[in-house]
Amino acid sequence: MVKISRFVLVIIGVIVTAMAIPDLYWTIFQESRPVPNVMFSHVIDDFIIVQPGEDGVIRKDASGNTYTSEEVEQKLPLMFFRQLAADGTMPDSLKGVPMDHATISTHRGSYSYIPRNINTPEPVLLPLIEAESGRVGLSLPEDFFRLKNRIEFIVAETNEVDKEKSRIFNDALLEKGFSFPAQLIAGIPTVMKSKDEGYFIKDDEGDLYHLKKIRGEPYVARIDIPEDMDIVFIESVDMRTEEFYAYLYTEDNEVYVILDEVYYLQKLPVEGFDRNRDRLRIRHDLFGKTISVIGEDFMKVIRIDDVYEVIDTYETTWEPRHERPDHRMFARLFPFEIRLEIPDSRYVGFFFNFAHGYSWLLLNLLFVALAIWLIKRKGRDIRKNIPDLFVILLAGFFGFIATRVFPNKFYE
Amino acid sequence: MVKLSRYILVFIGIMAAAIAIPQLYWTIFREAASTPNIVYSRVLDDFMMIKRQDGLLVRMDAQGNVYSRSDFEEKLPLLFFRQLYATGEMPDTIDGVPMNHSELSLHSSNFTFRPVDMNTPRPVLWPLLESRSGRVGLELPEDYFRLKDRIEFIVAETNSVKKGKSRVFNDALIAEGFEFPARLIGGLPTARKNEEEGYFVKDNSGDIFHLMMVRGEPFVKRIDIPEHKNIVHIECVDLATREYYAFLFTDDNGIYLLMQDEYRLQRLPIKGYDRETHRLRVREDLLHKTITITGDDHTRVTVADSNYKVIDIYDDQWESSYQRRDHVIFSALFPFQVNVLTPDSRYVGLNFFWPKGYAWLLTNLVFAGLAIWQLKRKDRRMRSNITDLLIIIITGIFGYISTRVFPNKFYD
Repeated sequence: MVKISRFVLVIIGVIVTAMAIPDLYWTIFQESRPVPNVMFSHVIDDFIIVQPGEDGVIRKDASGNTYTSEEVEQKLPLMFFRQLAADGTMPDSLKGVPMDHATISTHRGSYSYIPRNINTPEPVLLPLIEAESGRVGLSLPEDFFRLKNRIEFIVAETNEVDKEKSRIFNDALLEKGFSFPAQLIAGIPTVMKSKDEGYFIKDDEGDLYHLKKIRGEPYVARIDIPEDMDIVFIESVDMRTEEFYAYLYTEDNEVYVILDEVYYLQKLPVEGFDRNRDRLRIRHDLFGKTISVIGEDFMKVIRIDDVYEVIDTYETTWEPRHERPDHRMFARLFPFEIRLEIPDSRYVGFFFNFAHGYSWLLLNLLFVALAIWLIKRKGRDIRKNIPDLFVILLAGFFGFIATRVFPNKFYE
Repeated sequence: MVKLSRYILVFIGIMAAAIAIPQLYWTIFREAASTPNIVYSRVLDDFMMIKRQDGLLVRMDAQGNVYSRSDFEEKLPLLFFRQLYATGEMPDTIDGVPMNHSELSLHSSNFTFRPVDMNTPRPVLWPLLESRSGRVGLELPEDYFRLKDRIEFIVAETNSVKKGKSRVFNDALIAEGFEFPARLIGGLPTARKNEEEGYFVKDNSGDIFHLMMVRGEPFVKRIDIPEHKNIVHIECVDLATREYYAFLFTDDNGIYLLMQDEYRLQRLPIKGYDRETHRLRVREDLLHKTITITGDDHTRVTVADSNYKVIDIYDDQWESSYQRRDHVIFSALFPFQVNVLTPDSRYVGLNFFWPKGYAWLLTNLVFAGLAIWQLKRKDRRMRSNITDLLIIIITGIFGYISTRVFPNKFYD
């Protein structure tokens, strides 16, 4: 029993050192590798790549011509119109379209997706904001709703369910064919937005519903979803152009937008995107959208026009993480690391990161040899320390430290 | 020794219980106190307010007349001009002053300052933004400075000190008479503001220095502070009107505005402000400055004209938190409470909170009686448990729980 309790301590020691020491390592040695910024220029009809490097920022187009910072701005009037207007170099029209500041400004927007967006705790109480109050600004209601097996509005002040309102909204959902329980819900639960578009809810059958409150009454619209489409994540956006309500992510890694008013699901051309690993960066402008799919060692940029037709694509790759010097050195030193928090999730947990390859084995063997030497020097029996040596062989540095902090005293 | 170690455990148990149980109590029983929102109506030449009465929001004037939402907003055109313009009810002039949407918007501002804003860990590295870059937007620099015994700029990418720039800025400070070490620093370390005004730094002799970077060169301006004014906090603002740079808080609870360009100190016409307990709110509109100081059981609203001359003062008083039912019951149940976090500070610590009165003594005696009864029932000696009983009399339910969790086994 005492031996087991020591091994429990040793395991705790291994876990603690596997969190603390790699943390220290990364603080000191982590190299940041900025992802290039790829934009599409309608002046040269080509991509412009801005890449911060060791000798300053490199600005070039996809054909390899290099530019200065000012030239880049002039090639991207839809992005830098404020600066160009201030400098007096803004063109009057581009591709025959007059360059009107208000219009350019309204059409500008950006969206980004990281795996962390999905892996996050969801609120269970949401405010349903009045969408057509006749007031200048939006205001938060005094009740919040929960939606699972039914919809219930709870008055914040008294913590009581508003039975009447709950019944009316529940009936409105049922009338449109909603089948409880709700599987997903997405909206923008804040008043800091241009207008309120309520919530998008996936029901038990996989269909999508749009729920709003208009002058106190429920508004429910049903959006039929094809049988084989399994929506796993919805993210609402607040677009001043009122082009679409939300982004939809499906089980097989397709991305759609729900077009405003018509509820048409428009597919985005993001082949090869993996929602659990990759990032998505979407920039809107007057003429279309630039979609960047960013993985660990690649970037794929797709330029689409205002009807979602692909105009041009650009791809680049770089060395994968495990080939970078800081990661290579890490893999030589540590067999694994444990993190409480990882960039891909907002949950706290024990996340194991295993080193790439087996180059850590050499150092682990060295520590085993060191442990054997220490045991011999003290004239102890190697056979009674076999489990310790195994721990060191597997956990390397962490195991060596843990077995020293909690030494094996039972065979003295 | 074993007895001592048990008392350490009992003590830890008391602390844990005094943190956890009151927290649970407040989660369940806390009654939300609402403070009135008091504003000045130029139309009525009197104060108007929104108060919560019996759970409902009531809009009224200082004489007690109740208003509907639209009547209320009509009486406060300087505040609700956006809504009034939307409904077409905005007057053309007020007291002969022509009304204009952009002027009204420009002069509307709101500043709040709570004790927690002062009791907070401060950054030690700051970005000094270029204030006249010729660019439309502000940009974060590549280096951050620290300022204590000298000023040093550190390049974020390489973590090395920029010796040349540091020397130039250091010399500029010394040339203007700056005495190191710096005592306080205030600024807005973000690029999301109208204008870059750099930092305000208090030197060792108590004077304030304005530090900016203008086209790469240092700009330093000394602001003489009278001997008797000891500035303890500098809070910068980003006003669209560019009227003043910052709020300066002095040791004797005075508040001064540091006027833009002229570097004059303008005292706010307030009395009875305590920066450790009061909330401060300065609301500005086209014609007034409304300064609200709110404590636990009172609020004082001072309205001044644009030259900071007092127009009117309104005092309101309500039940102090100690008189509220949830606090009265609390003080009958618990002798004290330990808070790890308090609303008035961003630091973590063991903060003791003592309820008013000795009503808890009765509950403590009941727990002591219970402990005696338990001892008797188990036929233990009373004298060996005197210390436990004393602990229960002093710490009540916390001591009772703790002495049960870590029982006194030494006299079994």
